[in-house]
Amino acid sequence: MQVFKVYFKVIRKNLSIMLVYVIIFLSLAVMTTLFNKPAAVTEFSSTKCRIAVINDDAGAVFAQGMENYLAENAEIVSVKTDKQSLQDALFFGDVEYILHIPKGFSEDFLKGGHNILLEKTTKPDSTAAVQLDFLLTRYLGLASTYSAALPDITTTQLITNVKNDLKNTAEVTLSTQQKAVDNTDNTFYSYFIYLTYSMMAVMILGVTSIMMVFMNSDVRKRNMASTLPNLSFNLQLFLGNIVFSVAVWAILCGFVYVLHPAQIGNADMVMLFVNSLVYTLVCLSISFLIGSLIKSKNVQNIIANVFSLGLSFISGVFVPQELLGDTVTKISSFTPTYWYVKTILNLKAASDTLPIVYGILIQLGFAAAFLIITLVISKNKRATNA
Amino acid sequence: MFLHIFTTRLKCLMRDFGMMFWTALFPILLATLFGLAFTNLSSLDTFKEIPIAVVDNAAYQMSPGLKPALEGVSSEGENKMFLLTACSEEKAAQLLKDDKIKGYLLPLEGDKLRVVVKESGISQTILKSFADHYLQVSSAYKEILMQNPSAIQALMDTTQKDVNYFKEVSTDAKPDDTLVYYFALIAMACLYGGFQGLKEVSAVQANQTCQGARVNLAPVHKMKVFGYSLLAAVLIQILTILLLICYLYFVIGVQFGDKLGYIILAVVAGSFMGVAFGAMVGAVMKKREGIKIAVIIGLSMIFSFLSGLMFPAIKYIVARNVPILSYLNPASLISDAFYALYYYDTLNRYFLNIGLLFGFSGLLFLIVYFIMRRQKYASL
Repeated sequence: MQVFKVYFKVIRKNLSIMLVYVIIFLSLAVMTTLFNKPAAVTEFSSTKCRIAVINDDAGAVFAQGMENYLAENAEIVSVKTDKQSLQDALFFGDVEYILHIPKGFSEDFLKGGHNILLEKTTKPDSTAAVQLDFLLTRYLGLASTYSAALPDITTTQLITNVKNDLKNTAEVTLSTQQKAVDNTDNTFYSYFIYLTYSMMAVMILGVTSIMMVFMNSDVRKRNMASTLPNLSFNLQLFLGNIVFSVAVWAILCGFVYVLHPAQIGNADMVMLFVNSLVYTLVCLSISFLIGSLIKSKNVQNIIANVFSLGLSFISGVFVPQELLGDTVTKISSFTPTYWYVKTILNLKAASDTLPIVYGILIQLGFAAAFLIITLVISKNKRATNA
Repeated sequence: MFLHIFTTRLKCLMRDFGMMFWTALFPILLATLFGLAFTNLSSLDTFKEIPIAVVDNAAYQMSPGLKPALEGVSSEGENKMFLLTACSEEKAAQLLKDDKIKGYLLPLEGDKLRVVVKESGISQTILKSFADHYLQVSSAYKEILMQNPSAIQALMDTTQKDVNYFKEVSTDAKPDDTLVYYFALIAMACLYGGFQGLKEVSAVQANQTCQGARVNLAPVHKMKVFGYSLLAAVLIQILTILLLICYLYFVIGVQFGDKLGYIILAVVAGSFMGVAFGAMVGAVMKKREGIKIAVIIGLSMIFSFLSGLMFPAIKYIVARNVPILSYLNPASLISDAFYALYYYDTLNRYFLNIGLLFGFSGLLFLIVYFIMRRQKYASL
């Protein structure tokens, strides 16, 4: 078991490096989970749109009513009205929506004129701004219906009516497979998704650092000249790698309990852990493959970044899977990361067990495939190296 | 002396072809993957009709407006939003379970409406939005007809008009989140120049490389040796980033604005910053090469993360809550310089960032110089 022991000696020597990687990528995963409220595509989001309202028609009751309605449904941010400040506010994300109510708007609107239009500037990628747009359009639609149908209605009465109407909303029920709608219960799924990047990066960097020691050509040649059978050598290396992977997996996945201590008893956690363990094995095989191919430390970290960041992006880690295009999805379905993320999403939506099992099997298939490729390559290298 | 050191270091750097290849290729690869991932984001006009169902119960039959409203948005024409199936409640539940529909509507007594879905998503939100809209409009109609029963004619007239109340007024350029990704990528590529910086510093330190020991024996001022070598690294880095920008602009189509000279200036500033950052790590840390590399990777990733590489929202969170951080974070300075160039019509913010970049680089260089100045070794 000498190779096995040496493996851990190498780890011990490089322990500070390993720790740096684990800590850094763990903090990245944690920060992403804490700060990335995934593009709130649902109305069930609690973040209000930040809007700046420039009301040049402040005298009119209707414009005031509109402003009050906005105050209830969005977060009004006061911004200086000069162009530079407005630009700054959009640039820094202080506001997502700027609404300018021109003078005379109320009068024109209530007469049914539609000649004076509201001026808006929105941040294109903000779903909160889009939702606010909907709300405003509905508000104005109802208001114009009232003013057309009841010409004698007072403005105050009109505003009250519209507000009352807008209070009508449909009830929403989730069907039998109950999963909490409340986002706070679900973020631990997100943690596992963001773990994709960190896990892959730590594994590649860690395993390749160690493998490079063994693949150093002088060391390799001496080892090949020894009486230790190749199979034993490789098996011990593999065993060392497995222990390392399980340790990394335990640290990275166990951390979810620090973020969500209440979830300890959750049954889904078991599946999530299994899924992530399988994913760790996949990362291990990939790192094994890379480790037996590269020689320079600089290339190592660049490849680590390309793989971890690149695969994460096309598999829907940072950009949610449902927003990815069809071509991208087809391409990324040839990568294991895609299936890992898909399995987590399936778990979250509580689908039947079959797709989940498929996801896990496919990942195992990838792991096996990479392992075989590595063995073939190393056999070839051995043959030509002499 | 300058020419000699400069050209020699250039040759050294260029001979490490593997490293140069990967440093150049890596951001280009990542940019391609970004481009792929984002292709759909900006072209969400492929709207597929949403399959839904409505429960054909007594309340549905009796409701005056729901049936025509639903049929209005489910039949052929430009208003078509849904693929509608009217059926019993059990069948609807089964369709939902089998994923054949995204959700169904359950009309209730008293003209109420319930929406049943399986999960949250865009389609479900659209369905709920439609349901809300229906309820609100019918409530308004009821109110109107109560007060003025003869208004029904006026109501019929206003129903189908699709009036636009807004005029989109944009500033010169719209804030664009996909650009944040790309600019953060450029910033990360600049920071990766840190490896070059580290390499240069190691080549000059006697306890790191044999070459360093030889260089230290030469009667050349440390500042010159170190300064010229770093300039060589900066030049290589500038060329790499320029290549990346050309790729981004010509192949991916990222908009940088049209001030070419300032773009190049930003590239130069970014490269200086990256190399200085690496040199600083190399000089300050007295550990093995492996640890220094780990620290550079770690710090670059954290800086890039904070400037919005993984998701743009963090950039705004930092800017709103800890604004000083966005002025200290080199990646933010670089990416914001590009962003300011694209977004604003004045150059104030841009020059602020460029000034800070050069300032910090100069400061870091000075620190490295002072550290390396009188380094003596008891034994090597």
